Amino acid sequence: MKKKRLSANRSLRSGRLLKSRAFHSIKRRGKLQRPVAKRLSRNRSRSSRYDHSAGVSDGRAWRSGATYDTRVEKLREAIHDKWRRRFLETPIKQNEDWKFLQLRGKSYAAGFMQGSGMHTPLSAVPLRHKAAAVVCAGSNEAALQAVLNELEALPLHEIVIVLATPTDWMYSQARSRHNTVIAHLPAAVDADVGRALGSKLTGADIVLFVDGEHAVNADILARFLWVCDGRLDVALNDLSGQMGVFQKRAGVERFHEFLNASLDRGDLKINSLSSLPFAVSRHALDTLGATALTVPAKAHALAILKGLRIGLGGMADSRRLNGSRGDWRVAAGDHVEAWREAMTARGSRLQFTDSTRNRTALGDWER
Amino acid sequence: MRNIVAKKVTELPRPNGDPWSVPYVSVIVPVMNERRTLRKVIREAFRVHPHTEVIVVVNGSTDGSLDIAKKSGAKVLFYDRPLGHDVGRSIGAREARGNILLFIDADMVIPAAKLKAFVHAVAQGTDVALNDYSGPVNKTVVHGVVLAKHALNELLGRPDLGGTSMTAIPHAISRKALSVLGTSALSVPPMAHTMAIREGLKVERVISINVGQLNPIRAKRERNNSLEPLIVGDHLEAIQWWLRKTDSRGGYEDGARQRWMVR
Repeated sequence: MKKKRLSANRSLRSGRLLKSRAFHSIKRRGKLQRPVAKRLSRNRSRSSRYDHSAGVSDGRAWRSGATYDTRVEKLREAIHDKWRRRFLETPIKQNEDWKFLQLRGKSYAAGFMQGSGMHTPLSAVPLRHKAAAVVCAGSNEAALQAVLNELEALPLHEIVIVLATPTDWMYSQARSRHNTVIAHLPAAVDADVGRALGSKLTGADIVLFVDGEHAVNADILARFLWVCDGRLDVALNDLSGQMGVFQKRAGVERFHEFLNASLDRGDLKINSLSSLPFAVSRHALDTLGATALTVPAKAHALAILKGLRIGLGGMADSRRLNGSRGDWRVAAGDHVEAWREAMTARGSRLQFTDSTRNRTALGDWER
Repeated sequence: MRNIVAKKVTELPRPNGDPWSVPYVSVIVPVMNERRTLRKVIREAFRVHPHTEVIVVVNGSTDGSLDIAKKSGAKVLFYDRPLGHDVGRSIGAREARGNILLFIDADMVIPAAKLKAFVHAVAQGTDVALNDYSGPVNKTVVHGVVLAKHALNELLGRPDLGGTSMTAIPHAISRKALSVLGTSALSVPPMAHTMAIREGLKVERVISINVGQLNPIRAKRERNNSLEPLIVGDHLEAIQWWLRKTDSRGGYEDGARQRWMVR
């Protein structure tokens, strides 16, 4: 009886997920590719059914095996580990399709939990390399708790929590979690500086930076990790879907957009390292250095200048567009630094040379 | 009015001759193969003020623009090769004797009544009177030049200027602005724009003239041989000029960031 209800539950869940994903893909890719999307989704549901039954048997085996442990963090560890192995052992073409693999991961995890009889929120993503997250706590206790809850659902090797003048409750929250590294600072610190410090405390190959005052769903964060797992060096939050018309956009967005355009990355639109969440590879961290992260706009320009692979990690709601990161003067100064950096490397006009003006006709070019 | 045909123009200080012969307004019109509209453009230019000189800088023209200019009563400066975008403005400004300099293009007829608004603004104390036209901004992704103009104004702490710029015509400047900016900078208009703001000149928007709508031919050229990279580069050159004049953060403070903590 119980088993039946659970499986009904599962199909409902993945069915819903499938629907919403398919809807997005049609909307974004346009009508032409609709049949492909349809075919893919049929394949997806078939193979995710296999993943579910594999999950069930793996879950049963784990429960009766020697490594069985009643703690949920052990369950999460087991699922992440087993799923990673299973995923890597089935190298099929569609494995590169995020929506497909997320669906497979969901099915497998649901199966595993059914088989083991234990449940926990979890976002399965098969990573080849070690990942960590860095969060700088703000003053909001409830937000920090929500953020940590989401991070716990991910296959993270460690979570670096930067606490500056925390409340006792926040401190114990951070302590009570599994796999955390706590950086306790005696004085209040700017969040950019806090994250930069935090990034020095981990040696992971993929580092995810999240906002300590605004929780983002683990399923969204998972993709940032996945694209930085050998595919990109820098995975930015894609705000272009929320940016609205140019006229009504905040002034600082002009900086972000023009910085990208001037570095020949107009395709990144208003997206920048100054928006959370973002993820970077070890290569990016080593190339940029932790210090660079204290001024995100400059780090962004540097990442482009140094030829790092920069792309988008997903679409998460961000506080930047909602106006809470509204310190215009800081943003302006940061971009001054960014352009100074770029111009030192590439000259005053960057790649936009002036080959048509006859400046000698002017005689002495003043200034 | 005299006709001057000059191959090479030498730097002339503003002549202090008979006040009755000295024009009040100098209208500067760079011309490169714009026979179609030139006559009308010059006619409107002469109407902006009773004491007006029109300086036509003909460069690289092979379509008879030169003859039209000569017959129009304007002062004509002639260069047989193209000077390049906006260089004609500097050349014309060097020759200008008026108290107010009005810059227009030869491919677009703007009625004198509208041009007068810019002259009037400078007469009232504005140093740089800009066309209050920001381009099409009611969309998610705007043209690169529109973006550059907005970003530069924002960076200079003048978000109120929107996407207005000395890049766009018409605009008028005072004699004072000319002496502060120098004539050369006018060839790279965003640079002159930045200098004007940086040097504390009074830079204001006047009226809006939709130059995009007025000129479909220019839209066609934009598709074939876009000026976008040139103008974006101009804005970067302007930013770089400004960076040299200011501290590492352009005078904007660092907030509460303690960078020294991360080494």
